[in-house]
Amino acid sequence: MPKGETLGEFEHLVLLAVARLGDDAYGMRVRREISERTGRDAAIGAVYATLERLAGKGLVASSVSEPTPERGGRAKRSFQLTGAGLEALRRTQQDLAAMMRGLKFGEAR
Amino acid sequence: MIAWTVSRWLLAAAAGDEAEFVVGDIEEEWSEIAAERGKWMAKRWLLAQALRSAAPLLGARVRSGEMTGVLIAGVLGSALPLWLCHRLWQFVASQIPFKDGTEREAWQLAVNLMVLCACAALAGLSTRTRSSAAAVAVAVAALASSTLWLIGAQPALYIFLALVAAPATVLAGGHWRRLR
Repeated sequence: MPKGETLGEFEHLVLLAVARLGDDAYGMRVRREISERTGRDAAIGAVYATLERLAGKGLVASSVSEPTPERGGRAKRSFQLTGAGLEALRRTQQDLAAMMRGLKFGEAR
Repeated sequence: MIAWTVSRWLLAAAAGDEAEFVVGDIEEEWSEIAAERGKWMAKRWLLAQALRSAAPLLGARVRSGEMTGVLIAGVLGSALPLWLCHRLWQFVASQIPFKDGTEREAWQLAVNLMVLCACAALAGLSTRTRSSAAAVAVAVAALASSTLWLIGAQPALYIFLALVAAPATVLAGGHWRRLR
């Protein structure tokens, strides 16, 4: 990811979910992780479209596992955070922290 | 029935390879929700997921450039052959005194249909997955109807046959390729 390009809000959430889930990061688990932690009921299609975009940017890598009966005999695509993904997360966190520093929400009009 | 319809809907909306993963994830979560909260809640959840997932999945397909291929297959599979046949019969008619116009003999329309089906079958053969064959079939039907509308007055039966036969031939071509 070029320097200065930060993550979109949903991309940020998806990337954080992939980082939290480790080896168990696939579409359905990512969707559930976001839903359980933020209360946001994301559509599985939005999660996959975002994961695809992140893979295109080189922020996540993916691997395909064997089909299982509980998935109706369909294979599973798991995602792993790459070095560039970790760096993008760090930079976005720094940007957010810098923007938040000194802000007092009680004073908002 | 709902699960089957949703699966087909998502298989059509998602890009070729990705469709299987999306539907697998949906089926896995659907069975978990059905066990935790009951089948009725699971069905509601499934329908909501299907409706809300279509737009982002189609958006991802457009961004990946897959839709350009679908559009090209649609043009080559229906619009171009229909237009070229129309121009050919127009030229033939122009060579006969007092016979210029858009009215066609039945055998000419039959030739049009045969050429259309052959091109649509080739478009179907160019697809690798069920979802891309479905996308090309929709594009072929849409472009065929636009072309027929541009050409002008045609017998209703001919229009009906063209709009049914072209997408059906695309799907048949795609199916035949997957079987091989």
